[in-house]
Amino acid sequence: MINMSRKGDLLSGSIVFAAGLVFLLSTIGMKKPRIGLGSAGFPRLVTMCLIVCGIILVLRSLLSKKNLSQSMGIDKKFVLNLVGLVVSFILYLYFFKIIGFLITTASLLFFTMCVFGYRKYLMNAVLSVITSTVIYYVFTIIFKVPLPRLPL
Amino acid sequence: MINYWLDGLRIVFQPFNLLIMLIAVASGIVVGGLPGVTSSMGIILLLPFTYYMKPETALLMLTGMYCSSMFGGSISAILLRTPGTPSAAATAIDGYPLAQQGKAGKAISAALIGSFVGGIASGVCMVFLAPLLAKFALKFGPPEYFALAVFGLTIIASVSGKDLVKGLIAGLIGLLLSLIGIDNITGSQRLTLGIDILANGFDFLPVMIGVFAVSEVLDKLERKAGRVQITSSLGQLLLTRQEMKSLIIPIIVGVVIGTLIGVLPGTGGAIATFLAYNELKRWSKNKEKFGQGALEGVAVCEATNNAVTGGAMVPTLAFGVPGDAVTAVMLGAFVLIGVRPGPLMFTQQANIVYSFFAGWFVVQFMMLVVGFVSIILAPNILKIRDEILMPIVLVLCIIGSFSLRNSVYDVGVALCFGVLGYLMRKSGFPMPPLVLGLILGPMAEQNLNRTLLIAKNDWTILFKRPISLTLLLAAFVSVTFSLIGAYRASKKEVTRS
Repeated sequence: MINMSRKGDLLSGSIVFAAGLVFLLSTIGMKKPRIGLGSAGFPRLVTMCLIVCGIILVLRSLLSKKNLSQSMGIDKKFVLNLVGLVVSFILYLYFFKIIGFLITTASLLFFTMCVFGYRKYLMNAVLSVITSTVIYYVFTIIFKVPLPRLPL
Repeated sequence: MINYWLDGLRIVFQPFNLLIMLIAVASGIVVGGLPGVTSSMGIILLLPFTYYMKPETALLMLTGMYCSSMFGGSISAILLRTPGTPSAAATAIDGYPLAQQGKAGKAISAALIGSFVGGIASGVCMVFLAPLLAKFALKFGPPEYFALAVFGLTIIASVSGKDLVKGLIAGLIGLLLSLIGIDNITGSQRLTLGIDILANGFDFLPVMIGVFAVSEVLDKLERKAGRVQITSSLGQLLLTRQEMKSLIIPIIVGVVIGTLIGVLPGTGGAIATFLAYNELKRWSKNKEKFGQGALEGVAVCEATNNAVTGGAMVPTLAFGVPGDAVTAVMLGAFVLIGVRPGPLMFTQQANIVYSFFAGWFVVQFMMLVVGFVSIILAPNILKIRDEILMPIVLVLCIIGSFSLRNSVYDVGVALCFGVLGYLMRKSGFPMPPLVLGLILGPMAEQNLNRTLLIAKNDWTILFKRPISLTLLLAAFVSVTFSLIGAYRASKKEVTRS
């Protein structure tokens, strides 16, 4: 199990600071109108607040009395499953329009059920195909959502 | 006025609408009952079905889901000691001991009666208070709307949980996300970092699907906990006359506290139920019964829980500012189906408003009937395996985000924010502030710009108009109280450690 405590705060504070800075720098060059806020006014305010909060989080974690080097308990199997799921999301998005909803969704369902620990593979395959087919027909026929199809 | 109500009732009692509400109520109970599947997620999962419905029908369906999922949360709280929704957490205190004593049926019956009365009472409050506040809101100009958005953003302090800094960061991330893309004021691109696809901006719905639903699926993946033993014997379902009588005071306490707290933006059901439970216990003659299995304890929690729903809808309908995280999702759903909450809704979309009001009460009666049936079926509902349920939830999330604009980009946004939301949750960042930032960001920016245009860059206009000054003062007070609360909590923690 991931245990993000002091180390996690240090990391997330740094990321927040960096993100705030990047977005703040991206507002450079936006012109300020004579009256009104302009495009940059509000984003600058928000990003500056984000930078300040990021610094507070980093300082708080550095000044905390807890041991910084305490290890983050990570369940390797879970991390592997999570990475697998994220990769499957990327593949799903890539193939969604190319080979259509039915095949990609059935595959994603099958893989996700495996990742969740459902080990009855035949049942898993049947459930994946039936579920994606039912969803496909309900949404394309009843709700007229033009879900991508495999081009023949 | 009466004509509006008659029209509303006519819409509600159309057979198709009744059927849709019935399905939504039954689904809501199931959704609420499944641990980890929150009311927000239930509403999100219904959204793809609403795209092609009339706004009135869609709204009735969402109402059914919203109200009944609140009651559904009590089922798993009582049978498993695992609250289905955060606001049902207090229900488990007395509900689970009752289930262990073989009185699960009676406990769920008490929860159902409490939920029903709470829902009806808060509905009455909503019907009277929302139009009144909306009339008042007609006096609002850009400075007042900006001040209201600021007040709304201060809610972040109260929904931040233990860590105010992390809550603020989550809120600021929400604000930042609302700014990426085409600027509504000048029409130019901003904050896209040279990535063309980001010019589309982040639509509210895919982000919500990601942070509330997809991240929950990922969270479930981590928590693949062993199956909890469900209490097999429900015992008797019906309450005796004596037991019914004992529920009157707790339900009244729950209704009053729940409605009052619900109206205050940013509070939510979880805070209200614990408060009501503690108050009832404090004034009860049988204090020792609480925590050991008191029907009164279950009834007060569930009456409060559902009383919050109507109360939280008041600022949502009148101002377009959500009362809590679930109403923030409801607000997004409203906008999606073409209903824009705010003062003008009561005149321009009166038929929708009054069908929603009428539907609210019909939903409570449906919940009462379907709820009793669900008590018998509850143990089977809770046996649905996560390994099968969660992947299906994931596919519905994908459909929901794709159907918005028939765009794969939105599916990508939902999945990316699912991962981001999961990592943020794991790092202790609360999600409701992110949603509030996303909703209130455009409102704050556009109205501040209009204010400065009207006043020719004179910021003091915000303090010269009485309503905006009052709202800004309220925002200041709200933040101060939250800061004091956070300071006291951290001091207590230090003392304890």
